[in-house]
Amino acid sequence: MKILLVDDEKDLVSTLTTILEKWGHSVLSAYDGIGAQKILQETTVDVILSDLIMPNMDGGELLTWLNAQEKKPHFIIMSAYYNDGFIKYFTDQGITNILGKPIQFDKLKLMLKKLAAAEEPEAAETPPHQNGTHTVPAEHRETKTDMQYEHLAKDITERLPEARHIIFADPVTGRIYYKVSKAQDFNEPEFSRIAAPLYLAAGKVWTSICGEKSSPKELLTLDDSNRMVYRSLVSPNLMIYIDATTQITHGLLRITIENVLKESTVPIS
Amino acid sequence: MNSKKYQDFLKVLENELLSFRWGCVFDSEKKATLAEYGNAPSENSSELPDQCNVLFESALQSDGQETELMAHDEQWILLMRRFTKGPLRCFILLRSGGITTGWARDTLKDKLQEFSSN
Repeated sequence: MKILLVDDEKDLVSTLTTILEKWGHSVLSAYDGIGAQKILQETTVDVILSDLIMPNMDGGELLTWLNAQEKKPHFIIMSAYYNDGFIKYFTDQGITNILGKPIQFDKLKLMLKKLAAAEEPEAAETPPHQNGTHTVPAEHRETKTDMQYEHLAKDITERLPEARHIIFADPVTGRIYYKVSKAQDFNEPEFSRIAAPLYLAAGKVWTSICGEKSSPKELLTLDDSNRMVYRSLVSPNLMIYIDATTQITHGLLRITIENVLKESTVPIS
Repeated sequence: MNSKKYQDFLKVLENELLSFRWGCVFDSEKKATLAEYGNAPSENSSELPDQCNVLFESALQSDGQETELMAHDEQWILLMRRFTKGPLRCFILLRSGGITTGWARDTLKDKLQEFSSN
């Protein structure tokens, strides 16, 4: 098969290319999503084997771009951030070929064999897909919980009038489920591009500190004008992002969100 | 680069912050640890400064003029801050409880300013 390998770790690209060629595949390579796009605009491949976190354009963005194209090769995503939230996000999109890092070569070999034989990917419970890629319509997930988010956002706004933006989003992808903005300066594409890598990176650091079973519950960042950006992880699928000023304290912000979630009569996950 | 002065700086932080567990001064350009002090958080601690840096750099992109990032769960607080506008970063791991995050944040900020102006 013709495989496009996309990873910013040049050593890994070199090693994996040697292995894939030894298995009888022809390999093209790129070091980020933009490089992959350029190759795909000039030629077709059977399989894309892509890392998730990369500079310029990451694996998630490459997948989004790919989903908008007419011809979609099989897609295998690989990442060191291999946890339940990560797997769920990609299986929800119909991507069942998911590889953790360090790569288990036997698993990769098996995946490629299955793809070559045009067999169904492993997970039987995943939604139907075409050529290994399928996107669940965005409205499906959002409509289901819009009322819940609206209720919570209203509650937060009442208790924290200082909040400029209140965003409910997927912590893995940064995809926005629901948004309340009082100011015009919210950059939605930028948020979605950055929010996911930030949480994934925090998760990796946290794993180093606390072990596999723990994950950070919240991130607080401050800019030069001391404006607070607070990200609270409610579940592996939901993050609340609040942009506020330091007229309120971090403690108050934190306790308010905790109370809103605790006292909410609307179940949220 | 005089790593001893950074080591001493981390010792000062330990005295100021009662729940101090581990601290690191990291050069984000050279991707090198200049000084480390306290109990290493895990077996993977040698990778931690670089991972912290990835996190910090992501936040930097996210929020433009980022100077500080704090992450916590029930047990731990990880506090990251630039030394100045340069490439040096300070990472501090604290036990949560017994000290407020606001206090930790302000103390680190003050001590970094003090250190940079000396």
